[in-house]
Amino acid sequence: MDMAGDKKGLINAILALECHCTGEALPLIRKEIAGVLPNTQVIERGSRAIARAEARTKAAERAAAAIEEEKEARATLRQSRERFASVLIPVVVTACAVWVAVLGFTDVRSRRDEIGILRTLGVSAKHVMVMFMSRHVLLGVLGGVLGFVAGVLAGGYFSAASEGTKVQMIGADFSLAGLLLASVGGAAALAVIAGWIPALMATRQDPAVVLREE
Amino acid sequence: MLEFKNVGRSFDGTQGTVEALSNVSFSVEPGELLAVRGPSGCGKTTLLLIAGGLLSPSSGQMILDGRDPYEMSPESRNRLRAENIGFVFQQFHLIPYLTVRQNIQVASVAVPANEAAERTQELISHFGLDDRADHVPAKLSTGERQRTALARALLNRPKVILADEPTGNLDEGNAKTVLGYLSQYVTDGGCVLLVTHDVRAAEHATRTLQMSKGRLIA
Ligand SMILES: Nc1ncnc2c1ncn2[C@@H]1O[C@H](COP(=O)(O)OP(=O)(O)O)[C@@H](O)[C@H]1O
Ligand SMILES: [Mg+2]
Repeated sequence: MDMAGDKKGLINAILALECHCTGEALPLIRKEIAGVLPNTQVIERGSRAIARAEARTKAAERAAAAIEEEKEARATLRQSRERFASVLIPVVVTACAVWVAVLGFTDVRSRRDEIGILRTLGVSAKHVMVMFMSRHVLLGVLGGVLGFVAGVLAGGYFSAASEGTKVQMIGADFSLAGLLLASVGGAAALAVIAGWIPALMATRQDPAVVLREE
Repeated sequence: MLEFKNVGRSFDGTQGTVEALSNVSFSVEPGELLAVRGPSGCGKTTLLLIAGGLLSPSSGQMILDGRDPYEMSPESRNRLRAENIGFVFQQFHLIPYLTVRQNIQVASVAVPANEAAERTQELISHFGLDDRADHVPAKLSTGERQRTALARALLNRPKVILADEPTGNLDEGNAKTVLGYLSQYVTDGGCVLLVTHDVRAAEHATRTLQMSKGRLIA
């Protein structure tokens, strides 16, 4: 400050670096400066920008924390979904298999008639079996395609509401084609397995029993 | 072509043994439409099942085209039946989810595939089913159903047609039509064994046998 007094007329601005002069310290500093360098205007220059920068950093930190939290929440949600699915999927698949088998068995009467007549016409049991199973495979494939379309549409709809529109298969990332293949193949296999026993039972029937019915 | 030699058949039921057929002997040759008439429960369906290789006799022998189907393996018996016998039933026994064309062609075991399609079309036209060919049985009249069943019976050019009450579910007009087709098949060298309680059906027969309580009485 003393030095500054000697350079009168030569200095038109003094920049104070790293001074602890923000906020309430400013009026005090003004008084002191006025004593040494009267008519000097004291303004706070850097602190606003710094404060703003700091505020920005803090906001960014807060946002990052929020994102982290959100991520964690989603991970937990995903985990619970996966756990849910790992229970649900086998249950649903089993229920479907049982349902198809039940349908197969209740269908066994009409099926028995058809098989009886085919056997009467000289069609071999093996051929009859192939006929019936190919029908089952067809129905299974149809069911798989419908299930795939419904599943992808529903998945797209629900994930659009939460996680964006990417379709994912839990546990593994499948392409849509892979998913289609899996659902169609799975459904067909299920239909064959569940339809096998009723069809086999029906081929064992004596065709004469069917023909005798009036 | 078809010969019964002292054929008997009994069933073990809850009320003891039922003698459904006893000591039945007769034969049917090409060019014959043999009607076996008798009341319900007299053993007509049992007789037909034995003739068709679907039910083995308890006693006696049944000879089809010189062979005893009940001495063959089930597979050869199947084959013999497919190649030699056509069936027509009162209940039509069409396969509900197949179209008329598919129902006719379904038993094409004795005919090569391309020939079967041709033969099927021929039969569709013969039986006046052209505009019904792609319908399922539920959409057909009973007359059309029985004509479909007849077409199916004829697909493999069988030597014998076995008919169990084929006119039982038909009105007068349709019954006449069906019996007319059977007569024509016989005129063309076929051989028909028809069992019925219907007097009208017997009018188209070249020969009639009367049956009562499992026995032939005339
Ligand atoms: N599988 C069977 N078990 C026991 N009894 C039977 C069986 N099939 C037929 N019957 C008996 O044999 C007799 C002749 O039956 P069926 O040949 O059907 O007569 P129809 O065709 O002339 O009406 C009947 O008394 C019937 O109850
Ligand atoms: Mg009967």
